[in-house]
Amino acid sequence: MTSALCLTGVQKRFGATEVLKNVDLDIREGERHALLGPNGAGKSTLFNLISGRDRPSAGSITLFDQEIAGLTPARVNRLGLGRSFQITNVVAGVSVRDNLLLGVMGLHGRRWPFSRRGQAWRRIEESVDEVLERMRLSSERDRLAGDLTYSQQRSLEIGMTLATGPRVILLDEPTAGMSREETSHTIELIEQATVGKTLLIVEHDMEVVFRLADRISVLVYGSVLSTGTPEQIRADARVQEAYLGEATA
Amino acid sequence: MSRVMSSPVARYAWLAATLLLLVLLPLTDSATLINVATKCLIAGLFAMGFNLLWGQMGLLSFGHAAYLGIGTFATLHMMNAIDEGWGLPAPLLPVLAGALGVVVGALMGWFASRRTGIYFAMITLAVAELTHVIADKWQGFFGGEAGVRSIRTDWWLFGFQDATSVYYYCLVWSVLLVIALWALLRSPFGLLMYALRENEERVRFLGYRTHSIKVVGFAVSAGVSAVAGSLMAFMNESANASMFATLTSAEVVLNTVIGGSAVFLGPALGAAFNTLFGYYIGGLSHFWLLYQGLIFVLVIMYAPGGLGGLFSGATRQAREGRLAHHAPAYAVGALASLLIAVATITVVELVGTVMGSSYRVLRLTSGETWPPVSLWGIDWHPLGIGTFTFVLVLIGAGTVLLRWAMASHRQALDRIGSET
Repeated sequence: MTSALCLTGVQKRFGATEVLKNVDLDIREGERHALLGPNGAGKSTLFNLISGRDRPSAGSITLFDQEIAGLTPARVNRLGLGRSFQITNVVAGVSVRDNLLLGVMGLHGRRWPFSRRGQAWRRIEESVDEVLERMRLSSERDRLAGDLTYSQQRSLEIGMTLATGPRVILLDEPTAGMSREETSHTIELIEQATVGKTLLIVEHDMEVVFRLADRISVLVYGSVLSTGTPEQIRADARVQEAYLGEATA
Repeated sequence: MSRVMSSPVARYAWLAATLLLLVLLPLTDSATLINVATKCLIAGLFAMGFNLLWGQMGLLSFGHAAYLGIGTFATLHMMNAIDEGWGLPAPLLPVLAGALGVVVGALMGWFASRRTGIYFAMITLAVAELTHVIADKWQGFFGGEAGVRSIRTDWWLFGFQDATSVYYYCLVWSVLLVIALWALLRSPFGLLMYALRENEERVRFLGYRTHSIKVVGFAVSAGVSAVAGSLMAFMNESANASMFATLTSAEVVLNTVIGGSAVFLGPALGAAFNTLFGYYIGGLSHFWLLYQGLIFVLVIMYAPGGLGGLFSGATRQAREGRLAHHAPAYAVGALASLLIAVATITVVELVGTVMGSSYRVLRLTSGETWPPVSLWGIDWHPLGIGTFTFVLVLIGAGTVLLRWAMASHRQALDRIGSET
């Protein structure tokens, strides 16, 4: 199976602090891969390195065999990788529809959009409506994103990530702060939206992780402790000791 | 953003009325008024160009004098070239000056917009200072202290020898550019610029090169400013390097704050207000800059949305049928402000006059220690009980009325809040 995203020997230091020691990670094309780890393990840092926000101190990151370590976020996104943020990161002062428009315009190559004319523009509007529908935000389309409820903003956040049409999707705790019902809906949505795509997800909710993931990697103190299927991870004594033990205690 | 819709006719009626007023203004046949109006147009266009950066992208430039000045001097030299027989059509001068502004703006914007916030402002300030120094030293191009002079040449059917023709020339260019800016802001690119201001990181992760977008915004802003500079050259037929001073850059910021950067035409409104204020109040009182400063402070403290914000707030209330609830508060508030303003002006004028050198002369010639000061046709005794009573009564009454108006305004807001 080809690998969609491959990290070898990735390190990240902030001054004297070594956040990521030596991360090797192989995300196969089409799989849903969950990243587990206690707080401070370096999960968000890892996402920042992959998505181009920060540059790794050492190591290589490839997206479909192309080196992306150190590229700008815009370049990484255009190469087919989209990410969401742990802290809700929408454009608060514009409407829900316009937030999604920002994502879709780029996908359709309208990065210098001076007019709203032409065939391409009709397709853009259609895909915006589609994402609105899918994220259950159609009735909120004209409201300011900043006026939405927290969980609606989380949905919008995921919708924006999906709107750019990435082949590899990074979701950073998409269900944080959601109710049971909302979580369940969001996970359903992620399942639908990632069919035929590759997903790397950070999630604390074990139920969610074991339901969604094909494989799981456990990150502890800046390096990958173990990678395997949910069953393997559940059975792994080291993982239980380092992480699951304290979570289920 | 208001969801209340009214017919576009009603909504833009005031805009059409303003435009009509501007078109008909030369009928007054007052050369002074036409000249001042031309200055308002130019300052307004400059502020509109400046505010593309600030209002839309949140980038505060402290160096826009550079782009205004580049447009002015480029145009003066082109006018001289026409005079020497070059076949440049005069109405196209702003196009060429604007193009130069775009190029220089793109270059400077590339540097400045690598940073945001205060660092962006500092870089623009540094660039403007650099331009000022170059303009001062490079006498061959900028003409030193004497500056550069030129004359307007007629073109085809158009003569440009009187104030009215220059006014219409500026009006046509300003209106065209304001429409173009409006179209740009309404386009998806305008959305992109605004989103960048709100959350640049998110836009970057959606696949956009945000630095390039900022450079384009800067270039357009500089281009519009250069066109304003070009119109200025056309009007004045001369300029010197002093227009590159920081004061020019500061003025456009001041105009935009007073007009309101969040309202599309706010900057133009503020520029017109300050230009008229400087011209008419400047003619009436030595202390007009102090009054302008006071207005600036009051706007920042009590109406951070500027005059444009107040205006758009009132039109929105009128549209939603709420203006009647607020009308008494507004009327009393206006009266209170008038009383306090009269008291303030009295104090400023009396103190200012008494401190002045001409008052010392008056003392000697009249033989009195405190000769009366004439203001509004009344002789005021600087230390007279009447003077103090007048000022204190006005301020007291004004304060009481203002408090009443503010309480009434709050009540009206609460009432509306509980109704909806």
